[in-house]
Amino acid sequence: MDLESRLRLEDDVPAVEEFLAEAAGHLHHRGQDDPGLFWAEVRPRQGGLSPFVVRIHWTVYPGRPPSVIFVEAIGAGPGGPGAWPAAGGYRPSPGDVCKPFTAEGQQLHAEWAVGPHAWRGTGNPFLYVLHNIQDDIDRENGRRAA
Amino acid sequence: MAPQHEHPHQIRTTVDFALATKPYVHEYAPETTAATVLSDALTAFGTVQDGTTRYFLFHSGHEVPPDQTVRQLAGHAEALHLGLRTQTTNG
Repeated sequence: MDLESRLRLEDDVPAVEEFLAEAAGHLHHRGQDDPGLFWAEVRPRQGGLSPFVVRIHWTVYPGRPPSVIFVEAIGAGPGGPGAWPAAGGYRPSPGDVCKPFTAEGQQLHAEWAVGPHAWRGTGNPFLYVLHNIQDDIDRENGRRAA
Repeated sequence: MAPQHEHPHQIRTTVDFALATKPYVHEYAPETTAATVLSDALTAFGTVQDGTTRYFLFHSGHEVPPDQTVRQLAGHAEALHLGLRTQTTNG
């Protein structure tokens, strides 16, 4: 990851941490990981439910959307259906979030590269991605795919 | 005599959007609906609506119904802080 991306991430991470904490979630970055790799514990706002763990990997920030994958635990690979929300576009198999705010979605849908679904690197895109993930989870009352 | 404000009870409304570089701020009459605030905020943020992405306002952990008024949301406060959120399409 280039220096500019690292600096921009440093600027934007505090707002993401603050947002996740509002629902008792947490953002992790491990020393041994790539500078653009984060693990977010996203807890449904309905309360009393265990958090989802999301692997979010930025390669160029804020220029490109991140890879977003749901895992069983921090440091783990793609999780089974129980690790994924029961929300549209969140697909345990093949293991991607097919939405415009992910690298996987943009790769699968070339038509999203332009127009209203094009990636926007303005403001705080990291916070934007977490807003969408949290809201999609809450809209399904925290239900899991299995 | 102190100067009279034309709309002494207007409510200073701020809308944050994660992809915006600065918030949208405007003074609204108390009876203004959230739908109006949302429409104005989208315009201010230069957001193009295409019918596949749903935009909504967020307040105190909940989506704001479009018919709710600024006064109802603000309560007795003279300022209101809202968030703009999106529900994106999926492939």
